[in-house]
Amino acid sequence: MSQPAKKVELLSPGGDLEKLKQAIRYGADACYIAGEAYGLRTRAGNFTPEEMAEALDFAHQQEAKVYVVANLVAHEGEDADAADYFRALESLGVDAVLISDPGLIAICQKVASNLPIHLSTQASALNYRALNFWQEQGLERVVLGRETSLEEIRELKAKCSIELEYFVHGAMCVSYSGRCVLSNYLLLRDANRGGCAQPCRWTYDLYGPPTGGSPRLASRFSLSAADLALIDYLPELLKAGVDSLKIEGRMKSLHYVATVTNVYRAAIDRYYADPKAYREDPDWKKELAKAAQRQLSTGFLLGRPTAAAQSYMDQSEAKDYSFVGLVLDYDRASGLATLEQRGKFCVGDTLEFFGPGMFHQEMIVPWMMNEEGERIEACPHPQMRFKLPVNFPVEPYYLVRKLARAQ
Amino acid sequence: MQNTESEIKLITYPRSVTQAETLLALSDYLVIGEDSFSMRLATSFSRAEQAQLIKLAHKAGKQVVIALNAMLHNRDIKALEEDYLPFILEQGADAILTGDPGIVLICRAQNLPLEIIWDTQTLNTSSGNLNFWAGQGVTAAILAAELPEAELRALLPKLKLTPLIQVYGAVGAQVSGRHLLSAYFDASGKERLDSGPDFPFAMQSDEPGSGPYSLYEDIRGTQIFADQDLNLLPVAPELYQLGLRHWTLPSLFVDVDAYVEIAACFREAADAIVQGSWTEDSGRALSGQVISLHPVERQLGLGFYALDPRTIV
Repeated sequence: MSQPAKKVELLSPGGDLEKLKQAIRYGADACYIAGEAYGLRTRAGNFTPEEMAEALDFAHQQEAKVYVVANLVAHEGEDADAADYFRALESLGVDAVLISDPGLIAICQKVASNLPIHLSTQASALNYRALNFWQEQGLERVVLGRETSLEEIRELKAKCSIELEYFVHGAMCVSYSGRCVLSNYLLLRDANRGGCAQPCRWTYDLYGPPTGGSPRLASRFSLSAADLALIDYLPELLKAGVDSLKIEGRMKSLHYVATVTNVYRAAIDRYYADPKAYREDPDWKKELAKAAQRQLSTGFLLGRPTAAAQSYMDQSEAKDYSFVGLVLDYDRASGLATLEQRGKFCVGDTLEFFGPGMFHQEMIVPWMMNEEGERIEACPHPQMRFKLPVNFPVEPYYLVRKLARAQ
Repeated sequence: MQNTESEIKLITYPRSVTQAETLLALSDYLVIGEDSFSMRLATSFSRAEQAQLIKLAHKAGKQVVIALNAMLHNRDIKALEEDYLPFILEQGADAILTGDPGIVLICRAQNLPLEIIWDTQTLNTSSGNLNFWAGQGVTAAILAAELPEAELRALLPKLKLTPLIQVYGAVGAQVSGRHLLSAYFDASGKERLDSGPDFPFAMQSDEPGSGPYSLYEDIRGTQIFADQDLNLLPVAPELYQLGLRHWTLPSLFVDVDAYVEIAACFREAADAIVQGSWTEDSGRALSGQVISLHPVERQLGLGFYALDPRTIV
């Protein structure tokens, strides 16, 4: 088959400025971020206007794009500042804004007509008539509801010309997006305004029908969905014509964003280099497993998920590796790398350095020294700077991980 | 549905043709539908039943709303356009209840003689949002159940379509495309147990004062409901003063005969308000009847209506 005309976009989460920059360094074609208003992740590192300007400058220099998420569902009066906000985004040069609330879409179109709008997954757009509706409204792209299958994507592409963005990796809501208010009822935390307490990850007692004394059937019932990982289906998604592959996770760690972006970049580039000869590299899945996440599934890609796509066991994210350092500098003459600590480790520990282009190499820490040149046995303080000998070349912004449990 | 009426209209959800015949004396609209295109209805009616219900309603001078409020995928839209929509039009249904923009597009493109009532449940929270849909030809919308009175007061004067408010019954809290009960039974190695609108399960968290939450599976996935069903009869005069004159009463989880009596209570309340004969005592008595008729294992209350918006983060 011939290569498609337009290369798919790899879209990574930019939870904060550092994560955005790393995502782009590790291969993202675009990042999505949130400003200080109208986003759904109140605890993510939402960008100030100054940070947004810096993000745009950095991204555009790398020929990458920045999309701003403004996808909350507004209650009365909460759109009061929306016009000013969208005008500011347009004048900053933001590449697109993601919105789910049609009231906000209308405001954006009125005051910032040159700012492209993408329909957030929060609107749960699922069928070709809905997509055509939004295209008629002048939107540039739809982030599909995660409940759409590969077969449906093919049909959507055949019947719609609006761009399609599809989640390929990360945590999933168990509900159709935007249609869950369990958090509202349980804790008065509004799921559609950034307050979701994720009650789908809790465990519950489950009772049968209330017919004369409901029996308790289970004490660890959960709604929790497994995480999504579609690395095995990259060729199918690209052949189906998806325009943008989206990695979830504005609240995920720097390590996660770099690791996952790196893998999908490698896979996409290999596919485009020679689609017919494309083969998945076993190293990719090994690499993905090093980023903390729940058990993985294909979600709805192949049809309605089964029990295998749920996560009933420990709800915490598995961490076989921990992120311990950021390379700031490497002196080839001396072989010394300057690192910034992001997690504790000691002399004698096994570390893995990894970088863009799927570089990764292990070493045992022989010795370390602090900024004063004194030998140290460990680096216990967050963001402390120190040096250690690395006998292979590394680059600034390479990351360092440590195996969290003994092999 | 007009926004300028002084009367209060009741929108009821029959569970059978027999029940509908009684409900028609009490309500102004019937909401009916079938599994393939609707969700959270107590009954999936056959085409023959739907045709019969439309005839009955029209004979009584009432109207029928067809629920198309499921999360519709490509196959559903195809089936809707090729099969169900022609049926709905042929039978002369008056309105459709939907939250799908694709249906708005279809209706507009084909200039269909159907009123559209907008129902995205959780998302109908502001005049900006709802007026967008008014501009698309939608004439009415069911307001989100999670709106406190203060927000209703702020929103209603700005609306350009007719607001409907749920005054009674179970409130949807989540809709999933997964079969969450079956998946759990499978993963646990337990035998799968059936669930449905007539035999929902319940989940209870450790969160104090919260739950249980009813849930059941249908052909489309899993429906989960709030831990408190609504009974806004105690604040009915306020609703009227706010201009909320289209009251919906979903019928999930309620005994067939009890539901008719409950609808009668709301009818009596509505008539008393409009005629100026409502008193606090009469309201209290009617509300007491609703409580006594409602399933004893299910909580009833004002939901979010009485909450201070500042307590919701």
